[in-house]
Amino acid sequence: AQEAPPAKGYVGTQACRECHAPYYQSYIQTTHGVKEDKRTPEAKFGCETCHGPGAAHVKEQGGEVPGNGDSSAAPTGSANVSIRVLGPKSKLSVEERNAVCLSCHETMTTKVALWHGSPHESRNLACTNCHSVHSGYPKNLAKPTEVETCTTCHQQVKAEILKNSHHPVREGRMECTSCHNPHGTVTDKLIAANSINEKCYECHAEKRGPFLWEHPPATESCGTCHTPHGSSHTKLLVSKTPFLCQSCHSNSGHPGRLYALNPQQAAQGLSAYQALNNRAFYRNCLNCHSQIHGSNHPSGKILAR
Amino acid sequence: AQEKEKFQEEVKPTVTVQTEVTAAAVSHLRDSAKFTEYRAFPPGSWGDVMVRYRRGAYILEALAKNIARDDQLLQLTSQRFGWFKLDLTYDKIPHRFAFDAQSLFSGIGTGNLQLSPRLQSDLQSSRSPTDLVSRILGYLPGAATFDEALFRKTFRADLKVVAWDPFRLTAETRFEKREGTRPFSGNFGFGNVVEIPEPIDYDTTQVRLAAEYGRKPLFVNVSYYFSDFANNIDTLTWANPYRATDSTTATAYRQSYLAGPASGLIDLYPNNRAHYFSFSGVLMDLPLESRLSATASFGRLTQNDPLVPYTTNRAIRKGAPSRVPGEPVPFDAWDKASLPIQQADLKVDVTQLQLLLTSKPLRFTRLKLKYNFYHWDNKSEQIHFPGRVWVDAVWEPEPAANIPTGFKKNSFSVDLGLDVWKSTTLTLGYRFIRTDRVFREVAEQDDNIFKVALDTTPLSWLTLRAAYERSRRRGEYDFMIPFIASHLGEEEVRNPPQLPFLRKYDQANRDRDSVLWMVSVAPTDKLTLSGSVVYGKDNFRDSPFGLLNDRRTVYSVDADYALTEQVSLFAFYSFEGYKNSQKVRQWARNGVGDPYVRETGLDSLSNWTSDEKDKLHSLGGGLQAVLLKPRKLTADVSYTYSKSDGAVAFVSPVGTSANDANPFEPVSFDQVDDVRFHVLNASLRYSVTRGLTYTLGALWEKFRYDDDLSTVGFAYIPVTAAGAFNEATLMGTQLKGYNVTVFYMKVSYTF
Repeated sequence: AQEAPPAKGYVGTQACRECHAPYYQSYIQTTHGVKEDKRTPEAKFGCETCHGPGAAHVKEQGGEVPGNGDSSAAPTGSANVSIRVLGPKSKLSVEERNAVCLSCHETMTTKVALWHGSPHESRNLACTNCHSVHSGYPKNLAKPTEVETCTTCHQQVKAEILKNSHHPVREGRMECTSCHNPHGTVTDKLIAANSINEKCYECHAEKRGPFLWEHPPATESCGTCHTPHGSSHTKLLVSKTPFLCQSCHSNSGHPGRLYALNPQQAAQGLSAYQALNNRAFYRNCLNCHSQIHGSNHPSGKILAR
Repeated sequence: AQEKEKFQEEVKPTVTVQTEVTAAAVSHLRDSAKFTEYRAFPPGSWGDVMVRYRRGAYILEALAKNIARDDQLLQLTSQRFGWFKLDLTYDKIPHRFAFDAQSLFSGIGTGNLQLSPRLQSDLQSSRSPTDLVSRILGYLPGAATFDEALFRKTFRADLKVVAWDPFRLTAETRFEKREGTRPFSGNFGFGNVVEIPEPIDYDTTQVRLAAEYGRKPLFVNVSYYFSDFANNIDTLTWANPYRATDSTTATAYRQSYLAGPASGLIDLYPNNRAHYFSFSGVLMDLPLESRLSATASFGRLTQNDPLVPYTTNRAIRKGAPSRVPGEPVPFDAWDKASLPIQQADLKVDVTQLQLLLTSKPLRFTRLKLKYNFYHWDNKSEQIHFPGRVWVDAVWEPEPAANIPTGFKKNSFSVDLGLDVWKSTTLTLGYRFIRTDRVFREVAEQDDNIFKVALDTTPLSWLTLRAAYERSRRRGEYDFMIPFIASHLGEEEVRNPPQLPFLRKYDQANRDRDSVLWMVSVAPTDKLTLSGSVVYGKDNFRDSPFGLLNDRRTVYSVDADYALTEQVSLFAFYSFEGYKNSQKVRQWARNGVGDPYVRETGLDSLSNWTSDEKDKLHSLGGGLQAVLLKPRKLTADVSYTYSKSDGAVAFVSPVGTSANDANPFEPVSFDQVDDVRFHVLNASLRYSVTRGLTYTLGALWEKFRYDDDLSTVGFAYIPVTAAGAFNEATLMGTQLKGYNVTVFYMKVSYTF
């Protein structure tokens, strides 16, 4: 059950409910509102756990006013005002607003433990930019889905997931957090693994190897040839093959061949597909070098077996 | 009494059941597999059910979505708040490649693709490539028709125990079965590409165990991760359509109907395993509002699959001719005993370490110091092979050793954030990365990255971000390193087949500039506008050949507007422009353009450049409206359109065939992965009662794809002007467009 209000300045959840019933109803449906879990606000001081002691607010009949509460009861680093508005209209600094959430969440899960120093923290993002305890959406997100929440700022990704070649994000089978941890990781781009490749291998374990014949750029980073959010080119490639392959392979013989139409072929009305040989059409280089991620075949040095 | 009543109310069990039944009519569903690439949309009906039982702090929830569909999701959650949470999940995701693919092979889905000996004998007796092609065409009507698709079926069991908070335990297990086929290429040399269905039968098992302690000022996490990949089909053998009997000659790689193997063998992805032990800890509440975090991880990756023989071609026996006159095959290449090793026995150790210190030495400053170490330590042995069999056709007496490449990255960064004004932060950053590589062209490489960013919210309704980053990457490029590491033949080392002036872009010296502008404006509670501009440029300043430069420009705008309490609108537009240029030389050893003996300088008539461009436009808009209050009747309409236009332009100096490998003015490709994609979604939702809702909806999707290299011409047998090198057989799996309309009705009932 909820603890009794501390010595000074707290009025209890019932008082909040009288004027803010819709907010109370939305909050009580969430995990924050489960009083049986001793970690939740509801098991502590209810609404006032996050919003601060409400006595002065009630006395002034609303508004954000200087607190008269027991500041020791206020979450570390958060201002002792009555009441703390934590949403977009808050007068508090981002740091003060975040301190309210972090006072519980910072040590609650490894997902948030690296928030300090993370790109989003460094850019002054408030927890309430992406989350709302009162939204009723999964994970208390401010918008119905992760993709809608993240693409509010990452607009380029919104366009990329519409591209021909994409991960099943727009189909709802993957989310941004399938690969990223927005609260902080040890890896660039907030990848939730020790490296880009180690994240990719979680779902594409067959490409992990190690292989007898490696394709070294692939071993170093899948990102050398692939772009994860979406591409016009097949297999999420960063550019079109065979030109992508030819940017690194200008060996003697066919790798350096100019795979273009010549005017005679064009005059015959031949398409590139018809005019070019089997090193250019369709999968071009991959028509033969199909084991591009690595081969275990004793004759697989050129990744064709 | 009031307390007692309240308690009884709390422990009173509640059961909630939500059901949803959808009936849909779908047109042109099988025009293309692209529409259902990662989803199922069967005509007919399907349902969703959610049952939730709650008593006090305990919840049991069962969810079934898309029941009986190819993309169904089943979930069972048992949770007692403050004690534990157990999630059991079954998730099925399709990945479709093509409907009605055609193949002359039998045994599709297995590791052994067979053809009728009559077909093989007939094609082997062809008199010319044209004759061979006409013979293949005669067999097409009898080809098997099938759908190319694979399915991921994932079972997950996740348990989190928080009963002893601040001590917490987590156990996550995941087993994934991936099965089906996907389009794949086999080949028998310069001609004779054979598109084949690759059999997929993968089992992937993952286990993650973690123990956590979290109470200020300390957070500690210790974890173990295990991943095992098992391929239940180790190899793929496919019959050679062009010949029935094994044979070999010095030129057997050219045309199979003249000489070559009766079948090909590919060693599919090998089984592999990974173990990782990780630690992460955070020490908080240090002086000057400092925090110190440390993470360390050690992993071992292993792969020990048995090796297959050099070839299945029994004609490549001891004494048979090889590609090099006077150097016959030294042993029976089809005999596994001829291999120097029988098992791969490969091993990589992965070490990761990070230290991060964040602090506020002064009230208006934020300091971040970060050190990161990552080591991909390839401990595999080098195996020396006396040669190899080229595409099962002929012995190549070129000694070679595998190259167990590895790399190590040491990175240090410092970021200083200055609160220069109210809600305004100026961040200055510097990062140094040293990359050390084993057996690659650049053994030591340094990246110096400088950045400056301004983040400000001067007004409660205005947020701005501007950032600039410049990165300089430098290293000594020695293109000989992999050749020396790989080749045992002195001739190869003296005269490698690589163009010496080429710089591979992932290691080449590079100057990178990137700029980002972002603005978000919310002048009223009803309107939010945001926009961003991203510009990036990579200049490979020291690369005479290879990728020369790469540019990207992206503009995006987004608007949300609440017209009234009942009507809200949204719209977005995004433009993406990508450009890159590269330079290549077409050359042959001792022939025209040979950089070692004929044209040793950078200039050559055999040089050519390609400029690749890709322009993409994405836009969308929609509205949500409450037509009858309070949310009795609602309407939802949205439309998105995306368009991509790609092109590749070539420049090649025109000479004569005597001194120019390309003695013509090349014609560009105007259609490179061009896409037009429309999606229109509309639905009308009527709430009859609080629990009963009817939804009527329609979905229209139109997808068009054009590409000069893959969608023009023949789907099965590409006959070309050159002819001689193109007696290929395909399965008709090229990406196709579609125009699909779906009408559906949904009934949702909650009780």
